[in-house]
Amino acid sequence: MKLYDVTDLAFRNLRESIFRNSLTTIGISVGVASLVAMLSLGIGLQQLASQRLEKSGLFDTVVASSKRDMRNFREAREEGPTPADSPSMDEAARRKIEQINGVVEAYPDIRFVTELRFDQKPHLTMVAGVPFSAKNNNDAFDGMQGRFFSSESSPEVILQKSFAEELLGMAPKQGIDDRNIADLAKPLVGKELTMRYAERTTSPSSGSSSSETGAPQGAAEGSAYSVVSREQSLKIVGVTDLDPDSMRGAARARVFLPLKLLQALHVMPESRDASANGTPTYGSLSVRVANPNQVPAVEDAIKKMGFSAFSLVDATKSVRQFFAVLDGFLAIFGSLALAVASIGIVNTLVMAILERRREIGIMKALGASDADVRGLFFAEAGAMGLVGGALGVTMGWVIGRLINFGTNIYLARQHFPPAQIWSVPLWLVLGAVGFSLLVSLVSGLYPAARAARLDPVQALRYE
Amino acid sequence: MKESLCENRNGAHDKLCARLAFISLMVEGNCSVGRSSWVARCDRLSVAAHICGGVGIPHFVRDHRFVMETNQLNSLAIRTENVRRHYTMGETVVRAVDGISIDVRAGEFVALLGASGSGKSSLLNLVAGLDRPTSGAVVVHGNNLAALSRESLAKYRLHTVGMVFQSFNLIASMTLLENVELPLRFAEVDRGERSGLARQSLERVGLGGRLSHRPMELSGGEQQRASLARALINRPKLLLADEPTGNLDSRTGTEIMELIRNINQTLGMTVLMVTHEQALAEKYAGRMLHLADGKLVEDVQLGAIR
Repeated sequence: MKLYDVTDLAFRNLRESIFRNSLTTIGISVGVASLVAMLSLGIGLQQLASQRLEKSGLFDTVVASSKRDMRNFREAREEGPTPADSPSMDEAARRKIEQINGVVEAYPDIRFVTELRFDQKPHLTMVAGVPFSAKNNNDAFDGMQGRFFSSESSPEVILQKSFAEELLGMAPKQGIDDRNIADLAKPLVGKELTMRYAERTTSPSSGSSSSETGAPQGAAEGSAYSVVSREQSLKIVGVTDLDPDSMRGAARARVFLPLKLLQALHVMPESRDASANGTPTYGSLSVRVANPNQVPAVEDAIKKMGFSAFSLVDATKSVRQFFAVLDGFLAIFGSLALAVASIGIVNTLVMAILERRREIGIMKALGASDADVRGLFFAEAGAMGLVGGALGVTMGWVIGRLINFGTNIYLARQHFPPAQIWSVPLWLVLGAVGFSLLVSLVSGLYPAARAARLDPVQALRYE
Repeated sequence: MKESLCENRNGAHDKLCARLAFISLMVEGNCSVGRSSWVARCDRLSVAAHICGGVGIPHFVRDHRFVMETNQLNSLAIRTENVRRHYTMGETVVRAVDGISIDVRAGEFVALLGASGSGKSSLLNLVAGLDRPTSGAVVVHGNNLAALSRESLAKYRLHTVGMVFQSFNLIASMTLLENVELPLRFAEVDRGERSGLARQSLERVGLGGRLSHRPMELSGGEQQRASLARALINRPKLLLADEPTGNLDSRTGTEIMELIRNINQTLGMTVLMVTHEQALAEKYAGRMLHLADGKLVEDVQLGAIR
């Protein structure tokens, strides 16, 4: 029989027992729906976690530093030059690192504790430099109130939520802090605060404000410098809920300034050491890599230059492994319903054989081959699988959306930003329909073989 | 014989010519079955028959189909050689067919008679290729059915055999047209061609106006006519009928028998019919085979060739 005829007869037969076949098809679709819903949530969570992790800079960043700072740590067993011979992490080294293939940018980590005056009151806190590129690739600034820095070195400041509360004289809350940052930002954005800091200068100079000449201290290789106390007024432009650097170190900064501005201010302690030519050196560099896959290569290149480098790229592997296992479990649970549905297909088709025993006998008497009869039952199983699969994907999509919707209502109540915890990629749609078809065809194997083997004489006698 | 009908004017040939003339008259008298290729064939037969009366046969009637059909008339259609079909029911062996040897020539109309359980339907099933013999051979047009694979046996049923059953065996969920089309689907005939052929076939048996009716909407006689149309759709060489009038009243039964006889006579199709009505067999068949307990007990020739 031609494929068209097999399909035509299969759909005709399915229509004849529409109620029973619909129930079986619904059974399949429920199975597919549970599979799709489970996997869409698994994939959604994985994507959400990956995005967060990628934006956190954890997995695309290599932290490079000079080994000189580790002179006292004898246990550090790294290849390359000894700490004493390690080159200084200065501007030349930074540029060189930036030239490494795959590196997007390399910027110094500048953070220090200093005093900020707001409304005539001093507040001591950790200040950190934020590169201008963080505007787009750091999710900490996604949900901020106000705006990001207007330029690379504008005298502007973004406050962390808890520091904003401190400035407004609010007591820090215990447990979940459900204060709305919009309410915090309103009285603060546009106002000015003053940062007091110590500037390191190579030659004595008179400060623009109340200046205080510092005595040279800790000069390396004979170079002298002085420390001048300075003030910098900053305009508050935004309040952010998260700490953009929270995942990178224990020292949580609460006030963020443009990195270029901080570099220009030459804030003490700029370095614990100085390079041979007297130019300032950096404690460490954050090296951002275009693709997490390139992190090991970049790490190696930095190490070859004689610096110490580390990254958390291995952690990504663990995360991926975790999600692979999670997806596997979700798929198994989702497939259980489909397995039950496949038994339904076998049952329906075996019933159909009993009911249509005589019809099969007639077809064989008229010249239908075993392959024709087998093909017919196969096509019926396949049709139920295909229709059930398509219906199931739709149902799974709706269920996934509902779970996502419900979760977001819950998140909103807990004052968390909305999140897309559900995703149905095209491969899942096609894969689910294909899997449903495959399961149905496998379920149809036994009934189809049984129908094909039917003895026509016996079948024709059947009433 | 294969090349020319009238070159050899011996007695057997004269008999054939007389037979052809008879068939043509019968057909011309009964062309109510439809204006189809049958009619064309009737015309050719009548031309052949008249020509055989004296003038000589023109070339155009020596087309392949005609020559093949006339050739078939004397060839062997069915031969069973000591065929047996035994079933085991529990510990009992049922000898449904027990060593039957018969020869049926092409174009014969043979009735299988016997009481219930005599083995006539079992023998018919063996000839139909629906069942395989326990031992012995069933040879149809040179093919030993016992040696055929399941696939080849299905092809044999599709192209060589047309079957009519007592209970009509039309598929209830299909219209008459779809029922008649079914063997064409198995034969992989194109969709466009299929519908026309099925329509023609139904028109021939007088059901042109019932194409879209379902079997349950028709009388028994109409259902059996549709079943005949379905049996003939693939132009088989054998028509096997299992109690074709068993579920019909006598008037409708007669109609069906007339139709079967026409098919036998006009198309030269071999007919093997199972019946338990001796009168019916005597009226329509050319030969009667009486079976009892799976054995052939009597072979009665009712006419030279009918």
